[in-house]
Amino acid sequence: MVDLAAHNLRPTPTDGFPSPTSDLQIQTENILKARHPSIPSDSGTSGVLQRNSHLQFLLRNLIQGFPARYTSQDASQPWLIFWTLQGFSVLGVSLDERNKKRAVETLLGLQHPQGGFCGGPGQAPHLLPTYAAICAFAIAGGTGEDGGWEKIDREGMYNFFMSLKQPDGSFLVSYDAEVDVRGIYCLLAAATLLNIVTPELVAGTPEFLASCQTYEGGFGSASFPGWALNDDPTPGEPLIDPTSLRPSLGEAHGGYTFCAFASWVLLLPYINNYPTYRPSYPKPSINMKSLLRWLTLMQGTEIELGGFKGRTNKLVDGCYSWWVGGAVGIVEGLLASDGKQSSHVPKAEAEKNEPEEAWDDVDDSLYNRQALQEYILYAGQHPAGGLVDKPPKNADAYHTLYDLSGLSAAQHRVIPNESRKKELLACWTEEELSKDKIEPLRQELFAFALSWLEEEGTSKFTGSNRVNATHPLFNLTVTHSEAMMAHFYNRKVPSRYKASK
Amino acid sequence: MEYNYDDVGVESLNDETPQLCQILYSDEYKRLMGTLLAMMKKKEYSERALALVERGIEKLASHYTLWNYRYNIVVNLKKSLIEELDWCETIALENEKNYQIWNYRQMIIEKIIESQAYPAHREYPVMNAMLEEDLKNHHVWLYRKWLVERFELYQDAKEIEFVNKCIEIDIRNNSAWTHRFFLMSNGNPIFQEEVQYVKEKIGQIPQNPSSWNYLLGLYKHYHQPIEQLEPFCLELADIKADKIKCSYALEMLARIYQPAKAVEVYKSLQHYDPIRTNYWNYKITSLSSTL
Repeated sequence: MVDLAAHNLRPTPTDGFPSPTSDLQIQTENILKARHPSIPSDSGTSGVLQRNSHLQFLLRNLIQGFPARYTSQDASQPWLIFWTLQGFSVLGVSLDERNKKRAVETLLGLQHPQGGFCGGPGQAPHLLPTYAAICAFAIAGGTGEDGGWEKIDREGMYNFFMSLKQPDGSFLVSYDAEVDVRGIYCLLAAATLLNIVTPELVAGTPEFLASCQTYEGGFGSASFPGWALNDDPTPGEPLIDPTSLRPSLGEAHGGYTFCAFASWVLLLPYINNYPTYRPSYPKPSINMKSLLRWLTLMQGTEIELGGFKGRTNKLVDGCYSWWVGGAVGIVEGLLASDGKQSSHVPKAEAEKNEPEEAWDDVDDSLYNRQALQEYILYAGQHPAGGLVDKPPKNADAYHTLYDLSGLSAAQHRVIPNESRKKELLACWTEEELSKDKIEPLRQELFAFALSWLEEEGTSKFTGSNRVNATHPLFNLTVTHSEAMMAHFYNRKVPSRYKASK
Repeated sequence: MEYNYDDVGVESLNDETPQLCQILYSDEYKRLMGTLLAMMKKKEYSERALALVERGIEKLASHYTLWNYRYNIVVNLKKSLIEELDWCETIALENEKNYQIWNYRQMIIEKIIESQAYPAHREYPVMNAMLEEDLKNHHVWLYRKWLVERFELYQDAKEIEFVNKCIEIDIRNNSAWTHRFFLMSNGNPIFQEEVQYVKEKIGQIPQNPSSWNYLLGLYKHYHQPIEQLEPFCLELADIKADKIKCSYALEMLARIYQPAKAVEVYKSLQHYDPIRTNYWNYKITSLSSTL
């Protein structure tokens, strides 16, 4: 007989006052409880990552194609490619040359003649598929004739980005479309990878991002432009007055929070090194304390197997393992580089390479990363391959990637490494830096983004469940991020293996 | 009315060369979308194009390029914009999780406002119908905020009445609390009344993160000292007697007591909210670094 109390499988209290939210919550808890590692199960995956069946799932989608129900993704085709390719990367599998070539050809067919990438051939360019396409290029492409990188129209893309820019520092996701921080993240990640960030492109954007933080600490999708407009604009600068309070638009949400926060962090080299566009304006800032509180409050309790929710009082969902769990990882990285959180003590060398069958007790991350892994392993895996939101849902391409990326983020601590950053900064000569006035910004963006490395001896996983580490700001492996950025910043990057101490 | 599209031609969706991650479309879908892409290319703004776009959007409401195309047709043919909103409504009801519809609706309303007044209250039925299906529909709540801002409804009696009702139906509906905060923080300052309101709600159901976040948000927004909340929190979390009804009350107490007295409260949180043990630990560590 399993002692439930011992495992603390207490249902979320309803205080004797049920409501639609608590009814749904209880139903979900009952489903999840049955999957708890302490409960014997005959259907379960027993906490082992079903690597082969997930690879089969990905391979089927890659080669045979997606079943007709994926017609719903007709305007998101680069995403289908990215989710699939990055799924392989997280599982440690690389594509053969023939499939890489086909991936590159498919992606090039999605590039818009005027720049940017489209949801499908003949469609309009859009920021979201642009990110997905660039990341897919980072995985499958390269510098050679068939690599496709040289065929990415960076100038066209830059012009496309600029044409979407709004007076308040935000961007539309596409022509005549909405403003939304998902689009801003997609733009900044792509622009950083391709070396097309300029002060002109991002002026006002940090202030906009900061205005999207809600009273709960997480971020909403946008804020209202009207409130921010300056009565006395100066030609050439954003029209906003960053000192005005802009109401954030929407409810704190895991997806928007990841996008706004990762955007903010990608922009730190700009925020830290560029003056505000008027001396009287304060540096933009976000509230890290309330952000961290909100992120950690999104972790479900033990009865929910420690999965993450996307909003207060909503249900856990495997994809937030990445959007929310991954965002905690970014906070941990920033705290570590500020010296505010003590670094992990690496385990002894001999111990390090031996996977453990049981969890050790030491975990000084900011959330319960063991529990999150258990959610993904016990509740997130579909028996027929692929991963899910929660049982009894079907697997799909989106959840497969974000459950796996979340598992990766829960296993590996990828944080800024100061000595690596110095090496990367040294990829520029004084002469190069003085040649062009935005070269120092490029240098900082490059060095900061690529300084995020896995901290040795801190990975946490059981048995054969290890997956690859992924870059917290791009959701690409560090190797793929590095290769693409080295190419577009035209730098020879020193080997990581001698650098990391 | 039946239109003929034989002269248009059909663009191929994606199946010319061997592709990766190809969607296995039905033939019907390929013909429909292929024809639409061909018409779009020619910028055909016609009644037959409008009819076909309607079918396209019915098949796939997230096809953002089709919405752009539709907008251009509607504007070029000078169609009735009010009728366009009515059509849009039927699409919204069938596509709960769609992003494009709401932006399209805003664009149409903006276009109407260029030449005539538009009564904001005309938007209530569609929003209500959508929220009846899902009281937390993110897109609808976003749209509602746009409406409040655009038509300055922060003080509108109907708006606050609506939000009260939503909280009555489900006191844990965080979208409703967020909307309430949006109204309160941008309308007239009514700090005391709101604190009273939320305290009552917490009294009914202590373990509700939505109401606690709202309470904390009010204090921050109005720059009021949270120390005022100590007696209220102690009723729900009597530390001395170890009678803890609510972890959020404990957390608020830790906030009030920091730095020195907070350690014990955070330790207690490790017991009452164990999944967040690492976070409470971190809070303790950060306390000592500021001492």
